[in-house]
Amino acid sequence: MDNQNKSPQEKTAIVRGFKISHRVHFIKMRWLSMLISGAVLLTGVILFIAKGGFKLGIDFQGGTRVEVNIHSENVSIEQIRGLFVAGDIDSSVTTVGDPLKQHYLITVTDLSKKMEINPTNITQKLIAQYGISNIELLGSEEIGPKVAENTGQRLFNLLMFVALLILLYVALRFDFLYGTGAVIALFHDIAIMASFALVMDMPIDSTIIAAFLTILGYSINDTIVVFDRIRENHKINPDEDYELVMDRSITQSMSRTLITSLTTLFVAISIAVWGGRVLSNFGVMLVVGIVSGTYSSVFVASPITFMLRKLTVKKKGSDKKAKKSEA
Amino acid sequence: MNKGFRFFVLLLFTGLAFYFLNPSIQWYFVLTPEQQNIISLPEEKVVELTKEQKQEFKNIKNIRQHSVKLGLDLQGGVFILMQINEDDLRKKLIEQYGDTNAVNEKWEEEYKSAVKQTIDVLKSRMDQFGVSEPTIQKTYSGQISVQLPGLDNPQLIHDALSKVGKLEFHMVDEDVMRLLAQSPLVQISNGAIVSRESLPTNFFLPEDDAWYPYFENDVEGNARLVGWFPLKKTVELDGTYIEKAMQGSDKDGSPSVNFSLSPEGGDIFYIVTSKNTNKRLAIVLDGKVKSAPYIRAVIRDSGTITSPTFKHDPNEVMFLINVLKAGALPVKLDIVQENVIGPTLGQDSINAGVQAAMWGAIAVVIFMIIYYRVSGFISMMGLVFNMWFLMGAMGLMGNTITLSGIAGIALTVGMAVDASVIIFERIREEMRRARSYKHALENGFEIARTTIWDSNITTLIASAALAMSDVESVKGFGLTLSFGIIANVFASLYIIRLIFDWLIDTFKLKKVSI
Repeated sequence: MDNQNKSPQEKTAIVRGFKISHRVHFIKMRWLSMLISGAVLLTGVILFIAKGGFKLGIDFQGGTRVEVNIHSENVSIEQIRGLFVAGDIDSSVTTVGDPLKQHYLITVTDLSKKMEINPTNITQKLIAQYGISNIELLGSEEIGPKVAENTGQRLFNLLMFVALLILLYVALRFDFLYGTGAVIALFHDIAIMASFALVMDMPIDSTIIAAFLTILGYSINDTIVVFDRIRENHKINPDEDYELVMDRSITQSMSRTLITSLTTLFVAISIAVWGGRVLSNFGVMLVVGIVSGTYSSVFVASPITFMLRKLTVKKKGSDKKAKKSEA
Repeated sequence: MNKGFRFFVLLLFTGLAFYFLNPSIQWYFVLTPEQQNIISLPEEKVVELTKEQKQEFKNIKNIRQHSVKLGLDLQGGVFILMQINEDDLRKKLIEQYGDTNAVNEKWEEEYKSAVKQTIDVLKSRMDQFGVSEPTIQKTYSGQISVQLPGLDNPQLIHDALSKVGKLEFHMVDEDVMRLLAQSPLVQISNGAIVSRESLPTNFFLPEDDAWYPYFENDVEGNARLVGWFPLKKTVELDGTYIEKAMQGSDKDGSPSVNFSLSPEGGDIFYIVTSKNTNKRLAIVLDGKVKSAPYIRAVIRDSGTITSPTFKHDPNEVMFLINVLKAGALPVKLDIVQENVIGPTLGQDSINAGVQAAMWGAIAVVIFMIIYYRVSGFISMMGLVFNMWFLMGAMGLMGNTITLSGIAGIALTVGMAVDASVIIFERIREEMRRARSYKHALENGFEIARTTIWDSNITTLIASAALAMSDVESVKGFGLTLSFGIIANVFASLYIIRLIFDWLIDTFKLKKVSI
């Protein structure tokens, strides 16, 4: 199409950036993309069943976390765990950052022993083993089961509420089909991230929820930009084949889609690498979400909208024909 | 629009943002730790400072009030979430009402009132925590949250929760009050001397008297210094003799506070009240005057305190009853959540956050400038403005920056770059067909605008909903992102455009490399 508009200066030559000039059948690829998404999500579901649900952070199931530096030689994770096994307490001990720094994170979620697992008692045990001068308490957290239950439920409600609002807005600005496509893409991304958490055995805590929410914002933004282009192209020539319009719109906005993902990935990767204990999981989740969000705006949101449209417009089309023949 | 006017608007907003941000800059980059510490001084100690110090105290307190604060996760501190022990409250209520049905009926009301009273008591004990900026709040679900920045030992609070205050009764020196009331300089309100600075120069407090600060609760239940009483140093009676304090009603049916004393206390009180009729007896809790009712009758082992304000403010009745119980907590509390973030951990988080933001930003800047040349540079100028406005908005709202807030800033950077990318890609596309660069620029901005509005508003809907959440970390994220998005639309559609127009019109550039 651009070639019809050749200017004397051969403008194409001086504009940088990449440009795909032939048609790419994005919408046709929907079967392939469904297969890929389906496979990932199925893995998630299988893992979910096999593991009996998500591993929850203490924010969501209650428990205790103690973060310490142990300035003593020959400390090992097994040794620390052993301290608690003696009291029949199941703990999870991990090192944070450089293992040589002896920075440990001890998490206990066994709520049946509420009294024994409070941070003071855990620290006492460590002090008894390594001596008071060798234990540097960096921080601790103790969360009762009641709080945890509330937080999880509230965040889930919030997620649903946000999805509903987005559906309404997109339905208002575009139409209901687009809104459905966008929201399905949104849930797709969150499900992909949740599957990833299952694969990596990452506990779901408020940081991970924050990542879900961030991707919620990112993914919807990404989808809307593509939709906007489709709407624009459709307006120019409403009679054009819809699949063609969608393919062209996706192609046209492809460079933007990729560059934005790339720059946002820079930020996400640096959070994952330099973010420290609290933020690095957040960053890793962002990376997964950005990749999924970019993919879903092209391969989930648009195809779903296309299929929904095909379903409804066909009916309308045949209605029209029927009316015509009547007249 | 005239370019001069557009520059003026930009300048105005930049200046405004600076105005709101200035206190934060002062606090974090100019003031020394010693100067910062001054704000932890309790109100009644401020009187002892010199005039210059007092001015400084006021200035610094003002700066702090308007500066952006760091959340506990960054600053270090103790967070405690408490819940009223329902069994204990039920037991107390059954004692009061006599039967279970009546308690069930009043349960919700009593529960709320117990939460409120507890918060009031905790607030009045704030200074004992030795922290300059404690926050005590009721949460959405009726729990009580306490945030104590800078503290790293929760034991202190456990102690403060279990202990009661020191309750004493002193006589008000009415001779001194009468003398001071005659001076035109001295202002008296609620029966107390408003300011000790306005005392006549030839006035000296008698040897056996001392100044005691008088505190009243404001609407939020915070104790506020409202005046001073000259009290006799002798303790007429101490709180251990008080056996009971409860709500009653006077002969007009208005609420009153009834109290009873032990037999021994009654004997002492009989002597005190018979000697001092029509003088005021100050009720002093932990060195602070909480109330100073007149002695109207001789009292032995039970008395009644009435006040015209009780009728309109039932909280005041409850408050005074609590004072007579030596500031004991009205009901047992269970700690349901307790976080301790040590100072090193907080500092680590700040460092990590700053480092992540820095490297992320560097990568984005390098990429944008290589890929879009001068246009990329302009976009990064837009990003700087965006961040500036975002911080300004945070300053205006007196917000707290937490780790999740940093995440919100990270997404804002992503959104800002996205807006530029949308515009620039569109301009490139237009350049492939338009007659001139200027045309392409106009069209590019024009078409990109709808897209940017749509995508930003959708994200704003999500972030605004998150900002209204009562989960602290989610709220911080939503709030920062919401401000970021608003700043983003302004920066990308107004400022970046302005810079382009300025370069083209003023410098007569044919094209800005893109």
